[in-house]
Amino acid sequence: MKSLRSIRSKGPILFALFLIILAASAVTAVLVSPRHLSTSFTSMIPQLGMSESMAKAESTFTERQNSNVNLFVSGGDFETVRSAAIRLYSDLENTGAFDELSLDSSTVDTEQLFKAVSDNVYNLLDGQTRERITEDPVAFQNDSLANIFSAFTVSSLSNLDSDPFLLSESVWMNILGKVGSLTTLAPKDGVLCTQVDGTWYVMISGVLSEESQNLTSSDSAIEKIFRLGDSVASEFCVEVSFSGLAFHSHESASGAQREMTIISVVSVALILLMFFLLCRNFHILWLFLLSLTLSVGSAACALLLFFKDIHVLSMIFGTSLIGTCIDYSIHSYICTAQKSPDDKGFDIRKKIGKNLTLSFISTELCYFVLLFSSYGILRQMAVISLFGLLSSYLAAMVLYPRLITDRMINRRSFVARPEKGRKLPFLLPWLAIASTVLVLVQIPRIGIHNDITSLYTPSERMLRSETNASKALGYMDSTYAIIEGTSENDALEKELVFTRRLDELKEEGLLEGYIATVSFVPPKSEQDESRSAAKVLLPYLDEQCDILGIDETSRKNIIEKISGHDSYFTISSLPDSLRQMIASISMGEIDGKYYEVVIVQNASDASLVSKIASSMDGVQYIQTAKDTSAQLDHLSAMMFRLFIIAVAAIVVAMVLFFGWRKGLSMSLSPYTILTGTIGVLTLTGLSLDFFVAVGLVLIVGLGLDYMVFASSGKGDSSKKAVLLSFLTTELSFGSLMFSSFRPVHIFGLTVFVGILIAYICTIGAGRK
Amino acid sequence: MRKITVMILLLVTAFCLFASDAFKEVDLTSGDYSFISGAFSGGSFVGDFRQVKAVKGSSRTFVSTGRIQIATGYGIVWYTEKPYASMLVVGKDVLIQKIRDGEPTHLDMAQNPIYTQIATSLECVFSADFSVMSQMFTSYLAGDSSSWELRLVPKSKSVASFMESIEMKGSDRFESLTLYETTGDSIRYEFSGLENRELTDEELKVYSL
Repeated sequence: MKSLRSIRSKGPILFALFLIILAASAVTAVLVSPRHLSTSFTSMIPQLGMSESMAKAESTFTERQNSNVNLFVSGGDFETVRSAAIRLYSDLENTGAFDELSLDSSTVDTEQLFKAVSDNVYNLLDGQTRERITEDPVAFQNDSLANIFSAFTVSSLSNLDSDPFLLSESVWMNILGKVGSLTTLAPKDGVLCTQVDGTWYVMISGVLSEESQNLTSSDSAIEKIFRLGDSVASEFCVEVSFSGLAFHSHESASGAQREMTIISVVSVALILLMFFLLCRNFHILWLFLLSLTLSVGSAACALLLFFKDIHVLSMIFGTSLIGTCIDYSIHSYICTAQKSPDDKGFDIRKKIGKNLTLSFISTELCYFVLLFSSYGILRQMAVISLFGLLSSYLAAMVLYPRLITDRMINRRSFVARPEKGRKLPFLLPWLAIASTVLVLVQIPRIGIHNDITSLYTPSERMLRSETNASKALGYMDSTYAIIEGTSENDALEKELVFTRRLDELKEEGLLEGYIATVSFVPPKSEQDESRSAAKVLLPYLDEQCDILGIDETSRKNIIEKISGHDSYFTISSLPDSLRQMIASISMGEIDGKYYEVVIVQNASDASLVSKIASSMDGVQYIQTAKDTSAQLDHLSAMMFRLFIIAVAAIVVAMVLFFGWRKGLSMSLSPYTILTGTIGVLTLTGLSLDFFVAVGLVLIVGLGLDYMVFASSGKGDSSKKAVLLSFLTTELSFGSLMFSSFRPVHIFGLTVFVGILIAYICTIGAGRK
Repeated sequence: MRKITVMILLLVTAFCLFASDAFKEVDLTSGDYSFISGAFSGGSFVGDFRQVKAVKGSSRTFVSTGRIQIATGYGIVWYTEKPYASMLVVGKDVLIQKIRDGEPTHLDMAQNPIYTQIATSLECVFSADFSVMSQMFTSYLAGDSSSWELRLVPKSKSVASFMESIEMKGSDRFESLTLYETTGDSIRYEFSGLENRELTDEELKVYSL
């Protein structure tokens, strides 16, 4: 109680602020419902040149795709493979991990389809048939008779009373051909299968439930699916392959999690050892943990208040708070350890307050500029850091003066031992020149480049799985285009124009094929043309009916059916089985607009498809890897630009605090850190990508802290504080460069190099 | 009244058929039914056919005649000559149609996996490939080597969605084949003058039009 009264008397406003933050953290944690944690690189990156509604459609489609998984059971003997697949299907059903799971539902109910075709035959004539009719109706009539008397027709002759020209034959052939393009797998004995190079593949397809995709659960559904697959594989001596983004995400995340745990444990152990050796007690750790808890609580509170979808990268970036908390804690602790016997806690604060405040402002400036970014992910990073840092600052200013007592300090330790420092040469300008030369030499190799495909290397197992899936499904690469329309028909009209252009590419051999709703449901304009073509045959109806022996009543019905304006054939007219098969591409209404997706298979030159799409309104061609990499390029460039603004603001702040000479001199530090790090990273062959940019924000912020701490106060304590900060940061963040998870590796390497340069700059700043 | 009479007749026929145990399920691969495969006399043949298409619920029939050509591994070709000329090639992954004097057309349907199964079914039946037939059909046999009838019921659901069954008749030679569709329609092919021989290069060209 005494200490609390003392704190209140010394800093009532700060204390009140601090209490507000704490209360807000608690209230938010209780009131705010759990938010969605996004792990996709693409989910937080707005697509350039894409409207908000189109981006929403794209995101909806991607989410649906992400939940789709396929399992392939393969082997030499069909019966064994089939039995294994049936067993696996049954096991998977029992997991409850799927919203949908099917072994053979990808087949179209031909009876239903036949009925739909028969009922709507005059609306569904394809362009070629229409052309044949209008060019020479007599020849077409004779052809239809030849067809009726030919060896084999797919359509039933029992419909001749309503379709005497057997138009349903061409419609039926056309649709069956298109259905075939939906999958290369064929139904056989209750399973969907194919045989490639003597190996049978049976497919089990499923849609994972939302909970199953939760990568953070300890006993995740994906892990269960892997186990069941492996168990069936060993029992039946078959191979089970897993295809789908959810499997890759899980493997990548769990691998990274394991690795991060090892790295974290080792680095924390080293930090503890270091603290023990240098401080001879662990009290500083309590300060650090207290500050960290408050910072993380405040940051989480702010994040939950301002954002609905929280990105995992923002959370990772939030770990930069650890560095700041350590820095503030170390600085306060060491200054207290080296204080004069007469000094009290708040006297220490007076001495270091200015430095801490400047350090706080300059670092906040780095993050503040990110708030103006159009990218949600950057704004999240900014909010995390701004609020977390504010909490750390308040802890150092308000709590530490009372909390750090003499009992917490071992006077014989390295940090408490007074030492006479020797004057260091002022090397900073030389370091700045050296880093400038390095950057100038490296200029030809410096470039912003993100390649999302290089960030993830699938394991051998997943690689083999996807190879098997490609063999079974028959295509390797598919991109897609999103079509936006004001109505269902408008979307189909646009889709028709787009797919006709794709047909041209297909004819030239530049495209293997595509999957589109319009292949099964022509837009109204096409259906009107179809009816018009059918009307051309009316003058020949009597002759045809006479030959086929069709009575008068049926003739009247036929005339009525062709001439009348019956309802149009729509997506809802499709048989259920076919509608389910195209459900993922026929997205329907989203926010008052209608969306269709065209899957483009094996385009040899995607730029041609992109050109077609960009020449049309309401068509967006998506190449996820390429587009995401381009967006990350844009994001990185924006971060670098904002960064330059932030550094300029820091220089102004330095000059205001320390005057022209000293301010500018100190500003050399962020400049050298920036140029030096970029130069060294380029020397190692790295491009400046998003993760380098994120690392640079952290190191300039922390590097500036070192400079500010070292610039005033008792030189020896400052030097020790900076050394301790440097070592802890290198151990905690620099160790991340040993990760095999490439984004983490790049981030860790950037921080390792940057912090090393920051420390050299601080030492080279030439203070005693 | 007519419908009822037809139904009663059908039921009686069906009852007699099964009660007399005329058709027995057989394993064609057992080696006991070589008289059936013997009727085909080898891998490829050409001959004449008469085709009768019957439509469900109608007394109408569509009769046509022409020549047929079968080559194992290639497929079946129907050259319909009368009353309207047409040609149809049904191969495992090819479906070519030529109407009257028009250009041959490759139909997209050939890419449909269900079509592939139907084509395989037809080919194995026409060429009496017992191994494939056993995989695709359940076989029921009536009669003996002097006069036999073989009924084939497709095992695959997808093939069964098109064809209910196939009935083949023969003695020392293959005489007719009737394909019963699920729609109730049927096609009967009656063969004559079947000649077992290697196909000429000219005849084989049609498969790669």
